Amino acid sequence: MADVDLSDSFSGVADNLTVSTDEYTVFHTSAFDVSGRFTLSVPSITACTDPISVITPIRLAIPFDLISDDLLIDASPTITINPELSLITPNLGYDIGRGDLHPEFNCYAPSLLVKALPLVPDIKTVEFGAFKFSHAERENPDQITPETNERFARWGIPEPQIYTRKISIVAESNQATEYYQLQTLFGVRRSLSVYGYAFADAYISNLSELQRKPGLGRWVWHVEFIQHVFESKDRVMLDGWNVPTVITVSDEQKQPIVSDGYAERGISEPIGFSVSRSIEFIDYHGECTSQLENRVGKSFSVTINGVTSNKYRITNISSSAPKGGGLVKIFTVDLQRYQFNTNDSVKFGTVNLSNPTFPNAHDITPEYSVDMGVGFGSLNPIPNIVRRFAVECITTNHYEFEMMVGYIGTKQTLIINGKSYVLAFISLLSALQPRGGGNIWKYTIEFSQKSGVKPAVIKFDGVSLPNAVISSESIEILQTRTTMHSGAIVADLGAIPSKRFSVSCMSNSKSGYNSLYSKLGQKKTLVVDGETITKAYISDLQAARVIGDGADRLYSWDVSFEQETA
Amino acid sequence: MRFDVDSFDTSQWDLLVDSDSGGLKVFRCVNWDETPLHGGSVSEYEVDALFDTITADQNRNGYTDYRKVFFFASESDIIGKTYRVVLNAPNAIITRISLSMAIGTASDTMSDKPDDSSFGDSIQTDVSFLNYVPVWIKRTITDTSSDLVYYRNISVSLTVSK
Repeated sequence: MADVDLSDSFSGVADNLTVSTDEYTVFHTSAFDVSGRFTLSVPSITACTDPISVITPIRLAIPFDLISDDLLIDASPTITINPELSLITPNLGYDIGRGDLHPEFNCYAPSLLVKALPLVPDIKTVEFGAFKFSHAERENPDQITPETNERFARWGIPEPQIYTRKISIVAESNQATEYYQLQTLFGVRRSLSVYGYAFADAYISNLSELQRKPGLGRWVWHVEFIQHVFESKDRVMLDGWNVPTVITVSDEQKQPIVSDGYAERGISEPIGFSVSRSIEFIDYHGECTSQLENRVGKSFSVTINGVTSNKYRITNISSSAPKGGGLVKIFTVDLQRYQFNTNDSVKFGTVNLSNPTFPNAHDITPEYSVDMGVGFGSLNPIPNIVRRFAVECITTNHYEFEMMVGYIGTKQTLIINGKSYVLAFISLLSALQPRGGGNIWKYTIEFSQKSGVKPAVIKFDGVSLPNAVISSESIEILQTRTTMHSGAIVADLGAIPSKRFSVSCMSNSKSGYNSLYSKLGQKKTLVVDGETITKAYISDLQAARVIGDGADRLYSWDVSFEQETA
Repeated sequence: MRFDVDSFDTSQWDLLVDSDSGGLKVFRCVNWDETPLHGGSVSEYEVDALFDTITADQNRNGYTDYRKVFFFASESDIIGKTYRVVLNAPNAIITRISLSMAIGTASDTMSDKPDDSSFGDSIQTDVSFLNYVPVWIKRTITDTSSDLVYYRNISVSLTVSK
């Protein structure tokens, strides 16, 4: 029985009996209370006969006779009540954990009637996604294990925060089915809420067997959850497509492209690298296969954690699915690009050729018009030198190839890596397209340049012959040979030989030909490389031939001159 | 775990009683709740508890409240009597609580009740047989800075002179 400490005596118990004094008669009596403090001692806690859970606290109910707004629990230093309350409403209880109830606590109360009743145990809320534990609590303090890289830590380099938290829960239920429901959540990640505090993306890492409390219709099990926390995650964008759920991004691997011949001689060669990376990610919805396949064969930019590199290509795609199927697919994509500190450049006329490479060495073929035999004795003959440049190009613009076709038959300036070769012409052109057509043209083009051949400077009556090449130069010796009766031959020779020239001309314009045509039948001065031939006339003019059907036509004609010596 | 705390009866010995009060009864006013509308005409209910509990806040800061009752003569005329309201309380608190009375009107309420200067320790009035006399009873507890102590069953009695 509790002791009640009263600081003063009471005047009387309320009742409605009339009380008489010497002079007055009482015809009504009633009573009221004055709220104040009283001390209520709880001498001991006796074991309850009803079996109770070891993890659930005892709920203490304090019903009072009267509803009072000022029912107070004085949480003085001698009192520990879990949870501490300074004001409670009558007929509601508060939780006192085992070991927390102290012998005395002070109450402001209008009534001395206090009883403690075991009520429905309070529930500490633990939830795993939509799954709610009926009774559960933390079994041990959470274990938090940070993942650190010693190399960074040694130098005090701040790195992304990564840690693993293990949360141990002990659970009880009157229904064994609750345990089996929890079993179905293996492998899923859900938000774990423990006492109202949420741990995102947690998963079950350990689940004990189901145990039955002796003598009770109650089941107990232990479950561990793991939560990984990452301060930052990898972000990858392939050709403008955000790769979902990136698991890992490999380090960049650079392999230099080295030529033994140069390296052996210590020659600094153009530096080239093969750069490769792998990206591992998860596809939940089956959208990634088409995204990747559409980019096979293409050159695109890749942005990894904000750093962009261009000209990557997909070199490998692999995927794996969990056993038994499922929506999750883990993809691994290998990417590769080449990095060169220098690039080749080729320009022919006004066209910059796309992505040129030189599969062969430049080919130089001398052509000698003079026999350089030992016995000849000529010094420093000037041979014709034909240079050939073979270039392989890859372009996605087919107009570039068509423009090359249009240049056939013309002579343009060829610039290779800054070096100019004038009067070069296309000597070979071939192209290759992928199967099924496609927007890639791979073509091989050969340019040729003849050096050592210089067109002759020929003018006829001031009209320059374009790109004139003297095909023949001869002298006509006028002579009359008479055979005498004796058989002797008498030769009468002309005193002045007459010169003949045959010239081949080429031009993109027919105007030169037309000018010569207008001078038919005229005897004019012909100048050939500075040599003046007077009274020359056109003895033959072949019709101009048109070569090519491109934008620039090529006219070629032959003209012959003879000379009057009279 | 259980613990029981029973109420502890600290009342004094019962006093001698006398049933001869002329059949006086005490009735409530029709608006009995402790609101600004308290008062009005007589109701059909006798008074059971004249005053409610003084809360700890009221105990700390002081408080005044009023009740309007109707004296009723159920047996005969009660003429020329003096009526008093008597408080029985422990010495430690009795000096802080005071009770007084005043004659009211048949329908007055808190808004037009008798002025405080009209209240006194006693009133004199006649109560005719089967008639009602309106009476206001005022209770005041003064404030205190001392530790608040709980008092139970402080009695208030209405008495009539013999």
